Amino acid sequence: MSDEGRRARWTWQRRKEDLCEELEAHLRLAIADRVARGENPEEARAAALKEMGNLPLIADVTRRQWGWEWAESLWQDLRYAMRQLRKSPGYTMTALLTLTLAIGANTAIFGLMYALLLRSLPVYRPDQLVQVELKIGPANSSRKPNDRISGGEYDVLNGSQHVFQGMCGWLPWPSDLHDRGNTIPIPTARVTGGCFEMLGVHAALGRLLTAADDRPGGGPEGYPAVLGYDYWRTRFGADPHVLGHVLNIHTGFSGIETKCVVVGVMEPGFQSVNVEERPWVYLPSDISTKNGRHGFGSFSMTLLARLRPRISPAAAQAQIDPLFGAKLKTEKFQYATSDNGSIQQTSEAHLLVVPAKTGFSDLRENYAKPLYLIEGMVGLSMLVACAFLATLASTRALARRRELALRIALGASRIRVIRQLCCESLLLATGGSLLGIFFAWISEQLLLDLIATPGSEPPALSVTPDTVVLLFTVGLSVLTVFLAGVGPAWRATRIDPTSDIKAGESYVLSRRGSNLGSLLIPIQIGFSLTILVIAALMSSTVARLLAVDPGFRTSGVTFFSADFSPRAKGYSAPLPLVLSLLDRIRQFPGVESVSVSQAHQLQSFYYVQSAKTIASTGEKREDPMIPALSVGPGYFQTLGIPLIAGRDFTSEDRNTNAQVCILSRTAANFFFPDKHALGATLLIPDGHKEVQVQVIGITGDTLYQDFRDHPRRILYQPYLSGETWNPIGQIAVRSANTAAAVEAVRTSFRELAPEVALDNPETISELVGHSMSRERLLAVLSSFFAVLTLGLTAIGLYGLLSYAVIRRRPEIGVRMALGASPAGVVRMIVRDASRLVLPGILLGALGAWASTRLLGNLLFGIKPLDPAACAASVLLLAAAVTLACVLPAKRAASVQPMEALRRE
Amino acid sequence: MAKQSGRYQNRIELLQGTLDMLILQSLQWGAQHGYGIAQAIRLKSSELLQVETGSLYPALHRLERQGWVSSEWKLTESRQRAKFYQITVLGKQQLAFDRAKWESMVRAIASVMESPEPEGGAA
Repeated sequence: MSDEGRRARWTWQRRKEDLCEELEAHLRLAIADRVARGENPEEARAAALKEMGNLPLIADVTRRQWGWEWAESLWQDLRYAMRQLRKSPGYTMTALLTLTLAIGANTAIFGLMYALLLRSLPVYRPDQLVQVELKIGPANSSRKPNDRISGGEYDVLNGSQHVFQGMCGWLPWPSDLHDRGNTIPIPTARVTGGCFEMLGVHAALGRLLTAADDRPGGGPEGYPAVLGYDYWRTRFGADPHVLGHVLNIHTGFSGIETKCVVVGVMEPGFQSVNVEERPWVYLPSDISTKNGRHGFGSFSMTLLARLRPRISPAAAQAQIDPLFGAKLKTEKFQYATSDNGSIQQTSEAHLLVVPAKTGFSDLRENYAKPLYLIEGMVGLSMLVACAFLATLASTRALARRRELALRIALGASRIRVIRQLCCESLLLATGGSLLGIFFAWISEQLLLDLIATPGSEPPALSVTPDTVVLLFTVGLSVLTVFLAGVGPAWRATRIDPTSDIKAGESYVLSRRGSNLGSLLIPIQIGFSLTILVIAALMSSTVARLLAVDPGFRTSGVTFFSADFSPRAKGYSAPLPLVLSLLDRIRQFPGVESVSVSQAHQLQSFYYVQSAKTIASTGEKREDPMIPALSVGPGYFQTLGIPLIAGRDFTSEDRNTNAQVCILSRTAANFFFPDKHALGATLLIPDGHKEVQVQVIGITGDTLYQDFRDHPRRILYQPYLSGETWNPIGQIAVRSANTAAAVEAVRTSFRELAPEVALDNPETISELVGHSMSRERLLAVLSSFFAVLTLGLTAIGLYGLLSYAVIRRRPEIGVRMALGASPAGVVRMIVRDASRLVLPGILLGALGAWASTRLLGNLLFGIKPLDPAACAASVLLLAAAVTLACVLPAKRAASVQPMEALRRE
Repeated sequence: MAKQSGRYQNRIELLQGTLDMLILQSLQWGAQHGYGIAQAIRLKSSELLQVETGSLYPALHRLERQGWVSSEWKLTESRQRAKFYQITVLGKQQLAFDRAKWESMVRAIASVMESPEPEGGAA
């Protein structure tokens, strides 16, 4: 109890004593008065006491005038409820555990949903924010707009628009920081000049970036930089003298170290306009002109803007889109799009303005639907938990019927008795909420891990419970108190004192009592079955995805992404260094094979090439967008991709001028439908000419990123020929275990290339898991809730049936005395149970039918109402229900007729 | 409190709210403890009005909560400790208000009770 509470109680106690003293003083004065008038002290005392009346009652009535009576009686009720709960620890533990899981799961899922989908950005007037998106092609086409635009579009708007108070171009930018002799990859964000002013965020120290900071070349000392608040705290120990500190940052592929001078620290609370991003350093957008900050083609900028007052998003769009269209015409710019695998050029593009109160998120598109689905499931579990608790509470109240009847007969008001019963629910709900918040706090991290990209940090969503989430939890507990407390209490106190006291315990479960159970149990069964079906479908989806043969081995490989820019010339990786690194890694124990590539299977991106063949008949076969992977020797062996014909690349390939490539089987069949691909030539454009490339090998087909996909045509080119798109290389290591690979790669890089930044390792099984993370998330959570609700339902049913058996003991006794066999009695109990279960199954079938419509394209290899999955769910439910029936039925069958009758 | 028949037959039941006015009125002449207030009302009403303890103390505490009286532990003339009540400025205003209301009520009731019957019949 708090200090204030203790003081309040103390004051309360003193006032009570004060009142007693006052009344005693009254008595003394009255006696003294009578004695003074000549009465004998004994008689005077008796007369005064008689005149005064019932002292404690007077004190009670007087205290009521203080206006705190309700608090006192509430305190009494709470203490009473506490005692009742302590007296039945089994009930209390069950209820608390149920509430903890139900409220905790609800809070966790809602917390994630809120953080990802619903929370407003922590900036000034987020309701005024909009995002500008780019739609390439005609305005009415069904193409999805780009949520990232390029710097060129920002520049067009920046000079000409009048509908926005300010604009903010935001470019997440992974950079490398040289810090105390190490090179570490750090998340940075490049922002356009007016960004922070537009958002209305402030500096915790120094200043933020302004329009004057955002120009090529930076200031005389370097580019100004602002530190993220958390980074300032963890790396600099919140040092107030950090201003002026120089950071050596590699940005992009420039290979040049950029000096950045700290000019300020961001206020706590604000991280980014992207809800899952947490930059350590904020830099001006013009820090890297080499990467086309002002170009049109590379879409990496999120553009937010603040509307002027009284301008709607639609009106803003109507103003800026024509401006942009006119600019495109004068610039004669062409966007390249790929529809159905063929590249098209278009000069038409439109800008869209959409509300952006909640900022921007890459996860939203993938996770919005699963999260709403899960929230729905969690909500159903919450209702099942409430129904369970209501059944439990009403059974308890019914068991106490005689006591309640007695109290009402003695003059307790019904409201007061209801309040007392509700106090138990209130205590349980409060306890359950507190434990639930704790549970949510723990499970939140697990949830984030489930949706995280392997190798990188989990998405930096801030999911610590904040006011809205806590309010949600409070709402849940109020709901619990109402559903599981007030309702049953209302029913339990509908008492006719005379008959109930007389009937006592043997009468307790009246027709009214069983009605509540027979109403709630089918609902619980229905919800459980619905969730079970979802769990079965999602688990089977994950199993089927895992059973897909992707064409490479899904275990034993670890990938490392290395940024060779500090040692690279331009965009080409430093081949001698790469080769010596591979040699060094290969020497470590436990390493079976190692290779390098530009991109690899299971990565979220790939590079594309245009390739064609012209057959002797003159027929042209062209794929303008064939995924092209530059791989080093040993890549196929490392990933376990079979080489069907020909040979692998070798380290000699870099010394010869001959152009070679390897094709996947599907690609070979596409380009060379009627002859042997091996040794044939492929035409690949290089600038303005076409190069003849010889096919030296054919590999088995593989999937790329998505396990639902068909095998892709893939063109493999030799990494060691030196023509790479950028100096970032992916090192793939096949090893006995991940630790050996990490040790080998980290040591080799430390020895040979300490200035090259190495990203966190990603194992191939993590990548496989991530490629189906939505399905996995749904499968894991729906299974969890299926087990939870099924368990609660079974326990609830068990409780109800056992109670019915106890109640009907005399009746069963009579039946058995009249010749009913134990088997007949069991049949009777089972018949009773099935009267509850069958409507539940019908309800569940309806729920499953409705909810699986929503699963739609999340499923793989299985129909929404797959008979096997549905049958399995019903069987599992039936098993749980049977388990719940066994004990009560057994108990009923073992009733000794004579004993039961004698008790009657 | 339960009414005890027989004992109070010759006494007058107090109207709701009248007790408050009587208490305030008896505090006009100085601070007094609960027993003293009850005695004063009894004596002044020639033993007709008997204030029960079960009504007196709730009333006193209600008046105190409303700020019309204040209380303090003091010694009586016979050197006994007792809680003395004193009327406050607010209490005096309330008393004036109650008195005015009561007087108009008495006048109204009197004029009803004493008016001749319309037909001229005797009351």
